[in-house]
Amino acid sequence: MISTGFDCHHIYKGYPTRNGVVMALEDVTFSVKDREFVCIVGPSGCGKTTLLKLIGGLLEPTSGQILFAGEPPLDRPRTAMVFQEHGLFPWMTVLDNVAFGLEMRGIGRQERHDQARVFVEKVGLSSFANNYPHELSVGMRQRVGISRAFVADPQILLMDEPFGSLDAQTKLVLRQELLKIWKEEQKLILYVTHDIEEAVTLGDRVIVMTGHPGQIREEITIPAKRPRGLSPREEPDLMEIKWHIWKILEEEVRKSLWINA
Amino acid sequence: MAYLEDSRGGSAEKLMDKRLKSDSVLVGQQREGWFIVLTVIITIMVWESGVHLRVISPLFFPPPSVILLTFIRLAINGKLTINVSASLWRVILGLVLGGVPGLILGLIMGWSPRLYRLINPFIAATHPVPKIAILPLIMILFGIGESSKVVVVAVTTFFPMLINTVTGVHQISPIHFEVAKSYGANLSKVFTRVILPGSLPLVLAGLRLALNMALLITIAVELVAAQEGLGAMIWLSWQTLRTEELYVSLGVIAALGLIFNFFLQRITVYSIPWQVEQKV
Repeated sequence: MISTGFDCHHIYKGYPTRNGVVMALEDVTFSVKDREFVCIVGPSGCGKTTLLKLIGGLLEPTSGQILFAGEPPLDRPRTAMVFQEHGLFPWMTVLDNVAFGLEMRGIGRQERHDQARVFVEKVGLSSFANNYPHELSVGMRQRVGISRAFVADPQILLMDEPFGSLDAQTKLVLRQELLKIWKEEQKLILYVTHDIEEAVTLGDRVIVMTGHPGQIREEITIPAKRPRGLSPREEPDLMEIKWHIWKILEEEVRKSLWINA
Repeated sequence: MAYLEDSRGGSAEKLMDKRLKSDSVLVGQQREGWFIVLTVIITIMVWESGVHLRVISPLFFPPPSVILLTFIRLAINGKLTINVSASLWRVILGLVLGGVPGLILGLIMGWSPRLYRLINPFIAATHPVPKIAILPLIMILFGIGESSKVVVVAVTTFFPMLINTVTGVHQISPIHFEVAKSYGANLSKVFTRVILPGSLPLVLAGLRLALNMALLITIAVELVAAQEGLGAMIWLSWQTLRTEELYVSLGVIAALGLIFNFFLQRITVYSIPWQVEQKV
């Protein structure tokens, strides 16, 4: 098994607009180790999603380099992305959606369905395997999205606010579910969120970003052991970290809302 | 794992709810259906008795019984078969010759922004021209035989197929292309797993439009330039003042339209099961 870690070296990403180039990311440098669960937290518009897409190969950096296991991405490792919502194909059944990654790798119908069925069962949706996404609740759909990413057997999992559109209760349950699968499958997860609590309860490490242009402000290692409580309220040192991150972001949020401190 | 049981139960209930709802919709549709049948029967009765009571002129409105007898006579002596098959042949051949290129070009234009920018001005310029107006031009090019009639129908069906297909591809959410790309889909996989199914609902809507317009234009062409066909039959019965034959032709045309739409609705429901709840 090759190491699945990666390093971002001085990543810059600009988008051309009518008023010239807008920098979405400026001098972003960080690295993630094998099997690590790293959360990126920051206000909306700080370039979190852009960063994920760069690592996932959907976008190319304007300058800088992403090295996978120390190598430039000539033969990039498999990445899988979980999108915030609407990531499922409405025209495919749950089973076909979950098996999509395997299908793209040319695995035969029977085999990919067998593999997908294992995961559909794991997230408790076996009785919905042949249903279409519109027949599922939002929470169930996101479980399908997560299964699809894990079934593809990626070395790097990229998650873009996967539970952003869910209600608070469902979110808590799915977080636990995700941690359980992560423990079983031993994958590197890069998890983007704007929810500070979510970041500190899930991650081994939290990377705090601010926007305009997107930059890394701080990297914080979460000392708490696993399994952790559902919320930082149950762990005093997590609570402290949460307020520390909020202090970093507060000023930025106020600025973007034109509110003076 | 209790929560899993819970959520499963909840959604099963939701599914049941949906089923119940669709049942009540069905009951409503049945009632509406009976209402329509009743209206038609009453109209026919009033019409029939109105003619016999000399309130309605039999020259302009021959009684339904006479129209029905005429229909049977024309069906038996083969006149109806000849005309219906002539029209159907033009509709179907025109639909295939115009719709298939429309579909293919639509997929290409929807998929490639560059080709869209290149070709769209020509489409925008030619689309608004009433197709029946170019019949003389096409008759110059293709002669006065059968081919010029089919060509007019083909040109007519080409546009709704093309425009609906382009729109169908354009309205696919960009996230579906991103998902496909992030899982390493190649071009042919993007085409078969994203573009084709994603555009299918609007392609089928385009097919329905194209078929209805094909029928319309076929009749129009036959009115002005054909010996056979339902349009020609209408024209001939007008010239000879056989109004009962005129009504038979109109009835057959209406029936054809209904049959076409019925089958296309069935095809639509069958081929896009992920959209069954939307009104087709």
